[in-house]
Amino acid sequence: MRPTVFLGVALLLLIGLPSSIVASPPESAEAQPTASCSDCHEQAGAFINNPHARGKMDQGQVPNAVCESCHGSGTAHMDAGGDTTMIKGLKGAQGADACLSCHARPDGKTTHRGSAHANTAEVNCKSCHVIHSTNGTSYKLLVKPATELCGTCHLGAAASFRDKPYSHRLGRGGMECSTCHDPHARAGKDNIRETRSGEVICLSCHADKRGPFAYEHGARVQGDCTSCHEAHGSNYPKQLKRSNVLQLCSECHSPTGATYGSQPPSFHSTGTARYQNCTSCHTAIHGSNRSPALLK
Amino acid sequence: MRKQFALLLPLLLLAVPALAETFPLDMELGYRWTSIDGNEDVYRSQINEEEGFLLRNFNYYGTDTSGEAKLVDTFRITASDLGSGPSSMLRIDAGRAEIYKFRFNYQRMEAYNALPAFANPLLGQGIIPGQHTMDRTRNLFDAEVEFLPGKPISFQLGYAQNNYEGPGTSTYFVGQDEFRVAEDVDDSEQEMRAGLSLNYARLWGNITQGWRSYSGDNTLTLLPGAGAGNNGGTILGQPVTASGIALTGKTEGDTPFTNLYLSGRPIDRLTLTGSYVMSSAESDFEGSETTTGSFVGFDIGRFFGGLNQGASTNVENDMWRGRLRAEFVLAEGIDLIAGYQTESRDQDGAALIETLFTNTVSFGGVNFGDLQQIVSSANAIERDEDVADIGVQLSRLGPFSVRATYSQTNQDITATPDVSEIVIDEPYGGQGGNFERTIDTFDLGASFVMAGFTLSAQYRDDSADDAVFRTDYLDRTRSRVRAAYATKGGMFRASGLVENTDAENLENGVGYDGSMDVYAANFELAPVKMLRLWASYAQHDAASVVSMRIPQSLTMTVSDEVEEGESTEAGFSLMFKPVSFDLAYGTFENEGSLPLEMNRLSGRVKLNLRNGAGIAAEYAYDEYDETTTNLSDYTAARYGIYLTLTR
Repeated sequence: MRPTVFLGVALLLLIGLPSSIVASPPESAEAQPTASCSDCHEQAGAFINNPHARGKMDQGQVPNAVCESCHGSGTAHMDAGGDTTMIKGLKGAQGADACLSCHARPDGKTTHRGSAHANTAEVNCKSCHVIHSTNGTSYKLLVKPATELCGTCHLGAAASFRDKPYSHRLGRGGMECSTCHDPHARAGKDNIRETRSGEVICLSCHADKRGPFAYEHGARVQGDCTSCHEAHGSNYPKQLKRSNVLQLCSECHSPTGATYGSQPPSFHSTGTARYQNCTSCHTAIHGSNRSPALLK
Repeated sequence: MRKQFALLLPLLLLAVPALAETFPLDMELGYRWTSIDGNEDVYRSQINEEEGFLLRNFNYYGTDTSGEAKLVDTFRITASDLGSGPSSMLRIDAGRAEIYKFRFNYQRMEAYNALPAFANPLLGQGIIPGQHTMDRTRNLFDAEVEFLPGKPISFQLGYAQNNYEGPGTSTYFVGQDEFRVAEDVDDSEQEMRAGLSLNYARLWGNITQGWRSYSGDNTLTLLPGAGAGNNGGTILGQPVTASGIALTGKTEGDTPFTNLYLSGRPIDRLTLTGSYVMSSAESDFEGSETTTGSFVGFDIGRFFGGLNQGASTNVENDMWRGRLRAEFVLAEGIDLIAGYQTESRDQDGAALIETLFTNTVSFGGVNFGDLQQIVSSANAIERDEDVADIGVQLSRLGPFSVRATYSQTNQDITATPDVSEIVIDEPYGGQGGNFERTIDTFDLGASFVMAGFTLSAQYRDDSADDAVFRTDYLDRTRSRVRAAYATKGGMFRASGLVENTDAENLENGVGYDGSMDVYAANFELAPVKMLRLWASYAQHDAASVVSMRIPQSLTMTVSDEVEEGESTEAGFSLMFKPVSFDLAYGTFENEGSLPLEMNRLSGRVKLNLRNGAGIAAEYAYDEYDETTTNLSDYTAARYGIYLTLTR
């Protein structure tokens, strides 16, 4: 099926669902027999559009149990006329504990409790998520658009994307910081995502560079894409790490001691423009199946 | 994309009345015009926003409020930048709690590249763009349905597709010259997967089995007028010209993979997690080439009139990685974490390349007729890496929190190239061998938070016993300090950041010494509710030196790389009901290896009408200026008008 047709059919099927299948709120909601959180807290009533209330709605009302799942029983709080000491407030790192009581299931790399973005006064769940958001269009209940949110602390990386002429296009078109980084993983290399088959995440889009190739570039053996490319923003074409190709290549291809990287033969007279542009001949620089020297 | 947009637009417009009644809806739709002066190719290589209809945003969330929905209780559609490119996204989520969850992602990315200086040996002759260009499109689809989410046992089925296609130009080196060729690419990758999840008591896990297949077609054809090649004159008295070049190649690949994790909490304070991923990729390639003309082959010691080549390769790549991790809550606010990871990659490549050089003539003028060359090669790569780490996190020390981690990484790489790959042997060759490297890493972090003030610092030290690449560090330090202050209610916010990275490998004549410094600051002031002022500053300084060998003399020189980038941005938002104004101006100046300057201005005026509807006008102006040459410079103005709807 052609992608255009598939997209059209999928949309046709799905746009009809909200009006025909998702039930609308009842004209007049029946009053609950007991006091409701929404009697005093307007946001509790508006919680209708919060994913935490999903599947728990009762006759158009947000049951108290939804609020109590994080704030604890509200009975004493109500009986005391709204005494705020009688209800569990969720502030800072302590507040994160309430979130972690459900959201702490680690998988291969994700570990909400042990991640660099959780569980401290500096950064905890509420630093990034608005738990009480009543705007269901806010994906993952983020406090801001994802790219802007990460840039709040990671000022340098955000500026690199924003300022430099060659960079991945963030914020629009589907790519966000979290496309490549898992904010809930541990600090360091762990927070860089992998493909489902365990490879470097770049290959999830750049599949044509995946190989395996009969003749691989050594940079793929020891390093990865970032051996030559800046993953964030770069001043240089192709997000390369150097402004000219000869310099980029020669830094590795000048063996001294027992390092990995072959020496170009002497006919490469680098005084001429021809030999200053390595990829003019070595076009299959990401790997080749028919040229040991990556010429085609 | 315009065809797809034409299809999407009426569908979405039809949907709006039904959607907008009760649930959150945010939509922005309009038309964008562009006006480019200067090098439009560079504009398209960097920004590539084109003229046309544009669905900037479409966000809708619907949920069942009655608790009685049978089929769908949640529905979300998110779209951005559908229409006049360069990248767009559509995401649909739907489901019924504890019954099923459906997710669909679509992304489209346009890859345009036509630059004056990149790999362009003819730049000195004023020939632009370079010979390596592309105008390609990538379409990504991913759909997944999960049955019984949140139940003790749940199942997932998924399908993904990644298509990349389009024209481009490249160069092909043959017979001692480079020839400009058209390069058409048509790649398609498909992935099917099935998963089973466990969520029972204190045990969680998932196993996903996937199958990925790849099919890639690549065609190179001599471009009209390119037969003389890049280099004039003769070689050994022989003109080098091409009358025809045609290469075709087809790659087929299959990769079954398994991805699983199992996590459990045997006691309240202890969480154990194990994960494993393995893939077994196999790739087969068949290629053919027919090239005719007049060529010189130093590798065969003859002139030749063309070549016919057939190439057939088979590559197998097996990879697996296992991880174990333990998280232990020693006391409230004191977490201990320990982990171990081991991975292995084995690749075996085999290639049979048969080349028939036609009409070969020795450099002395003796006609030898056709010459057949056969390369039958086999190579191998083995790579193992183990990482062990242990850490502690203290998160309840009043306003302080502290984190410390130690890890050790052991790498073992053996590359066994085929003799056909070795250009220069020892002592100047380095395409094979065994390389071992151990890296010890200490990572410390601390933060202080009080009364709206945040101060945090991180320090990391990596120490390696050897380098595999010349640009691998032996010692690296990274430090980062961040300070932020925000008044309650957000009237004033300020934050600043200083980062430094130093890396070096000064042994064995490598002489690698690199550093990177980042200074950044943001300010935001909202003196009244209707006005927000903001400014930001960032400085990126990078410097790197490393020795490198000049091929023609084998003498050493120094590769010196310098970047000094500085950006300043400022803007304001003013809400003067029913009109809002946004204006921003930014400038970025880079000095060093490639001096350049960029200036950006953007403005937006929005008039809010009734019932959440509005109309917005936008203007954006970009100016790009490379200091040493004006070949890349451009100015680009984009302006548009958009209808908005927010409920």
